[in-house]
Amino acid sequence: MIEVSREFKQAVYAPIRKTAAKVVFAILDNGAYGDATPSATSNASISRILQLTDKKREMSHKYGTFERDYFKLDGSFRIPPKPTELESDLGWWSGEICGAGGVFANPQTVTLDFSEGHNSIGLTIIFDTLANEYAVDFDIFVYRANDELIASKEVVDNNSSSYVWINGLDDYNKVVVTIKKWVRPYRRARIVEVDFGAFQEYAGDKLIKVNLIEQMNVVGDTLPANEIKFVIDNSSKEFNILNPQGFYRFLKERQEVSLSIGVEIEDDIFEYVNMLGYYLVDWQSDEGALTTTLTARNIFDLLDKEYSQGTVTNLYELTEDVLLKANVPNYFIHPSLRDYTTSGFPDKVTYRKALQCIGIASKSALYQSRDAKFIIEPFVVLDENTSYINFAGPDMFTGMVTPTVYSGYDMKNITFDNVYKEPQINLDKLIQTLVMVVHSNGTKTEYAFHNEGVKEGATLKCDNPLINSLSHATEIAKWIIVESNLRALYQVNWRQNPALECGDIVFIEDSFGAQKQSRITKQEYEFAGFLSGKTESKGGV
Amino acid sequence: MIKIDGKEIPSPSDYQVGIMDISKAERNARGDMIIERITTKRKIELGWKHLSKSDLQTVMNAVSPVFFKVEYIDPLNSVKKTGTFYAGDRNVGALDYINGDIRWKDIKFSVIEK
Repeated sequence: MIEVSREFKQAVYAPIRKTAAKVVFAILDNGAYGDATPSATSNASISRILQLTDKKREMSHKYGTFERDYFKLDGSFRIPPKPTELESDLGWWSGEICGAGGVFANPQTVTLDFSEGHNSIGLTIIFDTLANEYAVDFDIFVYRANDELIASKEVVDNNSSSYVWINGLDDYNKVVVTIKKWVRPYRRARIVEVDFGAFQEYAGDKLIKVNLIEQMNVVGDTLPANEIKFVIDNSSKEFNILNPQGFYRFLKERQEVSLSIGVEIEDDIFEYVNMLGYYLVDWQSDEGALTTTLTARNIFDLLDKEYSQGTVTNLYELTEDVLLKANVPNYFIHPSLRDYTTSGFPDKVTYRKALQCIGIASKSALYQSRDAKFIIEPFVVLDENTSYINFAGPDMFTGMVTPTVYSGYDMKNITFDNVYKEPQINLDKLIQTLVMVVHSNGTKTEYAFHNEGVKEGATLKCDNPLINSLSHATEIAKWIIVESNLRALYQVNWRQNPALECGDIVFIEDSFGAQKQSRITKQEYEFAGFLSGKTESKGGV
Repeated sequence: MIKIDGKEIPSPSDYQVGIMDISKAERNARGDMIIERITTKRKIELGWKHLSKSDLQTVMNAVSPVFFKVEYIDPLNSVKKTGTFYAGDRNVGALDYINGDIRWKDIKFSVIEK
């Protein structure tokens, strides 16, 4: 569950509530980031100019330097990191300091050179958003090969720490940003990121409808990808194919998309829950309507490519090898995966299939978190963190003491108060026999495991090349049988709560007062002026 | 009193502002009402007992676009507010017709926030 404020918790299940949604999607030339070689007229000793194109759009912290009247001792600043502290993001800091009027005696120039031509809908320059400092007067020059100037922009009186220049740029090889004046005197110029394109935000009247599906498969033969589908107002014809000024020619696959769903916590103040890490896969202008429909899926959708395995000794190393080769840099692998020794896959598999096999072989959940991190951790660990019975109840105030208890108690209780119809409960098929295939030294041996006390039921076969011993097969078989016995499938149409995630253990109220726990396996959100949706969960009978 | 697309129109003799809550209301499984508030909009009913031909033309032309900006006095805090509106059906009555000259009375219509 996403941690949210107390006000959010009250507002999300209030009898009258107001919700909002916004979709931000990038129209970027992703190829330009890896191809850019940045350089500058001057660099401060703490400058990290290579971070200009790392897609991190905010400094890790505000860093205190001896620029006049800058380093406030209010606890908001940190000492700049040592060169060895690589995880800190600073971007470019000029070596020179501007004068009393903010003007640089020598204009500070940042140059980005590319080995090949790139196309983008414009450029976005992100200055120091944390300190809210920025260049006031600066120039942007864009060149083709042989220094042929193709576009330029003289910016005067800029008043934002993020500057967006929308101007179709085709086949450019060099970008030069010349900073002439900074917003405050006696400062170094700072640019945290240069984006090769722009970010479009759709909310309010511009966002007609958005639908999000999040899924988590426990024991299955697929690794489902989450999907966002959104319809936007295209009355300005920005997305029409034939519009020469439109976005269409710059739309490419793997553009980043994020969705935020908010709940009003005060008059016109919304607290948003962000769903990051989606990539544009499809877009179309809707015929007969002034709208465009766009579809984005998470990283799992991009993993259907063949995996070429390196040398590994355990499931942790194997997972890391898969993720790095699949270009998934943001991940968390639970250390317990080191306990499973393996030499990997004897035959070729796709990245997606490889991850799915690893998930089953380690009894783990595989999912992308809301902050776009790929996570693989055993279900037993996930359940420890999300189980309802670990929560002591809502915060209480007794006299002068506020007992520290988890205040998310009510959030995981899906009651009739927020449900339109009584939840539907179906029973999944029971497994009577589970056939485990053990792969050892190029041979396959089948072992049958029986679900005790079950006289009739289905037979399931688990053929996973990462299961190489009878003891491992027995462990996995026991787990699959226990999971399959959790066969109550709950389906509830309700108001939805964006703070709840797949994997969370919830109580879904029923008219028999059974109060059974179940694990969320699918979340559907629909926003069309208001939020509603569907939750599917799986639990014991 | 009222400006449409930045131009003052004759002050109406009848001015009613309706505050409309746009909601999706449905009963929950317990039978209680739960309301998803989408937004709140204004509906302004305007009326003039009498308008000269030129004033009527000004008013009618002002509300002829599909959407237009209206600056009006909002009853919530009695200050001027601006919003985008569209016009409902316009009704105009004839006072008399003498020597080929018509005079108009009871001009009424609503403007509804987009």
